[in-house]
Amino acid sequence: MWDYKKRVEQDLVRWREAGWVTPAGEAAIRSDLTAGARTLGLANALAILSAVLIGFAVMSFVGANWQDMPRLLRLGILIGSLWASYGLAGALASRGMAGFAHAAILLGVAIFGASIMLVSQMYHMDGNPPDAVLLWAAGGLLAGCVLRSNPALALTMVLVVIWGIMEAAIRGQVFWPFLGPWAIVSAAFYWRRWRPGLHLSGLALTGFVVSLGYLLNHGHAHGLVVAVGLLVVGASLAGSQLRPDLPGLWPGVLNYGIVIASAGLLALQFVNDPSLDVFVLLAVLALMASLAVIYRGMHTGNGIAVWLGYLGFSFEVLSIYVKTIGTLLDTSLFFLIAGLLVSALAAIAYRIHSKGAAREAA
Amino acid sequence: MTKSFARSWPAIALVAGIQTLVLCYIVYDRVMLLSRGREIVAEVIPIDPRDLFRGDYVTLGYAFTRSGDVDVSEATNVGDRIFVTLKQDAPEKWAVAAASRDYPASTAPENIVIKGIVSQVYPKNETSPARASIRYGIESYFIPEGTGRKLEQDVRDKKISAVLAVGASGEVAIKSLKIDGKLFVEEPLL
Repeated sequence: MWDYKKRVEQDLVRWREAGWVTPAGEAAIRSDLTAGARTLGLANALAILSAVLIGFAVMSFVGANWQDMPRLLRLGILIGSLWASYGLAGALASRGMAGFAHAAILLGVAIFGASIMLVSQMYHMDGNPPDAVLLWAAGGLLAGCVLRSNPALALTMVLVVIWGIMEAAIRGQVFWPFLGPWAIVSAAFYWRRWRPGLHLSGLALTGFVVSLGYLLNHGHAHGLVVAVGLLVVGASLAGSQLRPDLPGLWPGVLNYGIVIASAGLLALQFVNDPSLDVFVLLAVLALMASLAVIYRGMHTGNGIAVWLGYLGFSFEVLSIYVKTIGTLLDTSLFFLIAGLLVSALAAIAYRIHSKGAAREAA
Repeated sequence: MTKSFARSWPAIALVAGIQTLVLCYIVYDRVMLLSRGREIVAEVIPIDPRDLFRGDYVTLGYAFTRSGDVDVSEATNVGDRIFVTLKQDAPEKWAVAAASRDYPASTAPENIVIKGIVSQVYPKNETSPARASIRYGIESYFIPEGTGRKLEQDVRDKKISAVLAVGASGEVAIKSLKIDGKLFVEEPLL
């Protein structure tokens, strides 16, 4: 949908320059394009939501009193609704309603998952629940790849994450096999050239790396998380120099690196409970890193990095404040020094910001 | 989904077909186990009498699923697959005889081997070796919604036992429940 809009807009410029379209005609086309996109976008979103709701309805059928039906009939209902959803998807797509078709595919994948659960219940199977989630994800991947459905792939990634969390929670340790299905679904996102999906992959992997800090080395591996985050940041900085032809990739990679490093840095200070001198060192480093991130974001037009920098800065200051309340450090002197330090940093931040704003205005 | 979708009907049939096959295979596998597996009856120990019927399923405990009842090697981790050999002490009373990471090469014909997943490991100490709790996947029995309370009253002073089917490679499934020796519900396999 968005691709179409972008293409028409590019063409419009060309057509106007060639004198085929009058300025009034161009304005009319533009307004129609915006209106069309808005209503269709909303309709598609509602269709996806309705698929989620109907999927939940099928799943809550688990608790319903359907024990009176013979097992074969129950199985028939499940498989019938499975085929009906995919059939609906085909009918909608052949009428050119791609958004609704994706919603119907999503419903089909949801019914597949509900069926696995209902069959398990029918036969009192209570084995390893994560296995059922993984099987469900495999069904989602199949539908997503064969039917070229991005929403189905997104659901698959969510299921893979749920599977990984369940396995890690049962074992109480890092569940490395998570990375296998994660890589497969990420490859599918890449194959589809679907940016939101790749961001989903980035988020999932970020969560996994941050969890390492809590699961490795008896819960004290946050330094490793910081190191991984810094490596990702470094890779992004190096990459933007070496391969400037991929401008869409590097800022995104940078932001994930920032999130990973910040999560580790915060855990080092506030979860690990370090000694005072280490804490002060880490806090100063974290504040300086936030400023560096804001500066870099301003410099390169990476709005999300700026936002992450501000968020990190505020969160760091707030956490320092909360941590020092009620301790020996809770003296007016400490707050005075900390306050002066932070306000000095804030002043620098303001300078950098206004400099960036001035450059942007120019 | 990119071009004319009418040409994609085979793709749709492929997805729905494979997913249907998966579901049918799960059912087939279960039906085979329930019909061909060796049948044993094991006494059920209510885990917590007041919490026996949680919503619409029953939580079942067995003499051989008491916590920390299986001796294991020290290298055992939570989530590992494990094969537990059970021997019969008395009618409907089964106890753990041995446990191993692979299906045991030989067992006495009166014993049975069931497959489980390690759910908790207790490290070894001076008095005992490393021990583990195992989940066998036979700990839940689903009942029609709203029938839990009545059933709970029925079974308060009665003896419950589970009829289990054990397959050749250790997989185990619940066939039915018995209350005072009487079948609670007997469902056809399909």
